[in-house]
Amino acid sequence: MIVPIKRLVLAALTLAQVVFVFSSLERTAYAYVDPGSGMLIVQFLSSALGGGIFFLRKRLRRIFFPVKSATDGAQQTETHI
Amino acid sequence: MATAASVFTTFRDPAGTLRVEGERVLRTVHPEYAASTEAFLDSAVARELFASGALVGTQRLGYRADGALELEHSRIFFPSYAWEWSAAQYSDAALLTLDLCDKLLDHGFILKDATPQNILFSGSQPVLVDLLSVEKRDPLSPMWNAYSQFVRTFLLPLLAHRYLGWPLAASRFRRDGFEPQDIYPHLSLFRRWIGVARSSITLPLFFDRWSKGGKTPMAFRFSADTCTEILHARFRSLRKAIQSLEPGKLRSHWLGYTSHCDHYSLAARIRKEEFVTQALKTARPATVLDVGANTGVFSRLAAESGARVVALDIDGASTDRHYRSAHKAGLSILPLHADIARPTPSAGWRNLESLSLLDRCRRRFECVFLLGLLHHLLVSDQIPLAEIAALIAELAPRWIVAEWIPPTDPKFVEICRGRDARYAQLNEDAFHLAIAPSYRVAQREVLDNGRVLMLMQAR
Repeated sequence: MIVPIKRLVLAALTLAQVVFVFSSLERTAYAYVDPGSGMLIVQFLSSALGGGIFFLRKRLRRIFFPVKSATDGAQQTETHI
Repeated sequence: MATAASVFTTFRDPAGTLRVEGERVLRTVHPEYAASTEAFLDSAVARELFASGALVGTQRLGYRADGALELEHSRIFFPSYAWEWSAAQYSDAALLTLDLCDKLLDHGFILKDATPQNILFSGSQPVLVDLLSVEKRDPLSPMWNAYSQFVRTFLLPLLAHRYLGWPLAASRFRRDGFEPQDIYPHLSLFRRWIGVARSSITLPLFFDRWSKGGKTPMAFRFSADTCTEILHARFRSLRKAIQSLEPGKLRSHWLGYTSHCDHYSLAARIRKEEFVTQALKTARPATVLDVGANTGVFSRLAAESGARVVALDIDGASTDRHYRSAHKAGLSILPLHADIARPTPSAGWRNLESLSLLDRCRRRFECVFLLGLLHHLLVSDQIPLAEIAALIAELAPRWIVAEWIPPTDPKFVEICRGRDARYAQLNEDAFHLAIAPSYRVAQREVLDNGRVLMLMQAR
């Protein structure tokens, strides 16, 4: 139980860091707006959200359905954000 | 195929080129992409997609001296373009693109671009024809590079069509689709924030302004299974978005035309179907062009007799219904939203990238249906009989199934709008006279409503 909570906190901190770095990027004014960047950001954020949900779901699954054998545990892949 | 196509070689894809030589469709894969193309062709997923018909049939011809790989594709009988598709066809082309991505994903591949220009219809089934769109994906990236292209070229035209009534034919002028800012000002506040427009128009525009065109380097690295899961979820949500844009119950003057027509008694309608069935038995055409097909009663008879059918109609709602029924029944019918009196022009770079409708129709069909059409050409479009005969000579079918509608017919009178005197002298003999040098009447029947059905054979 302790390990998943630790990881959750770590993940939340990393995500906050990503958002902070991302939002502090220098904003350069160009002669025209790149038409693709808005959609790229939407995809980026939805990926982050999807990644977060996937990460949480795996942890919650572990809480409610504890790992039964060593083999099963080996199959669970770590998520790196 | 037209001469223009046989000399034109595609140039946009850095991975290779495509050219049409007579009846053969040949692709050259540049040396640096040959190995990855071979790897895909050898994969189990490629074999599965070829077998299902979702991916165009491909044969390896071998290597050239410079290391380029030569491939030959199965010929799709009649190329069509997004600006001739009904909403259901457009939507199915989008769904095929997503389905393919979904399948390829689990095998380590993905589509590097997603545009209706990579899809053709084989009968009523969409097919991906751009083999080189398939590429190996980065297993640790959750981003789909073709996402914005998919939104611009599939999602936004369908959204603008569904909510604003913009014609899908406008895609002819927008090779790269619509931008969010093209559509945003026309949407109500409700539409901007509720439903598909929020993530495909409003938020992208907001972020566009926020980033002010600055470069947005975004490189996420997740574990492989997380990436696969995220991408599957993305394709699922795009699929839902496309499905939510399917048109509701379409209304059109032409939709009840065949089933509720008061200018045809039930007996005359049955006779007309029997005449067409008999004509098909006599002519046994392998290919049929049904001009003015409406919802496809006669196209269906032709397809059931074994012919490959291309069906044209000026009404989008009828074409939509025709496509849905043909697709559901698995019939070899390609309904297209096109006007024979104002045929789709050629388009693209130097007018060579896509062929005009007539370029594609000339000498491609053994039989042409002109049912319930001639009076529209004569009166609504004001095309003289001699010009209609000239068009038929260009199409050069061996057989014509035509319906002559006399100027006294209520439908003829209806479209005359007071110009009856101009057409008073027009009669069936004038039609025969115009077409007589090239065609002779093989079968003829006068229906109880005065309309005349004819099967005509080339001399």
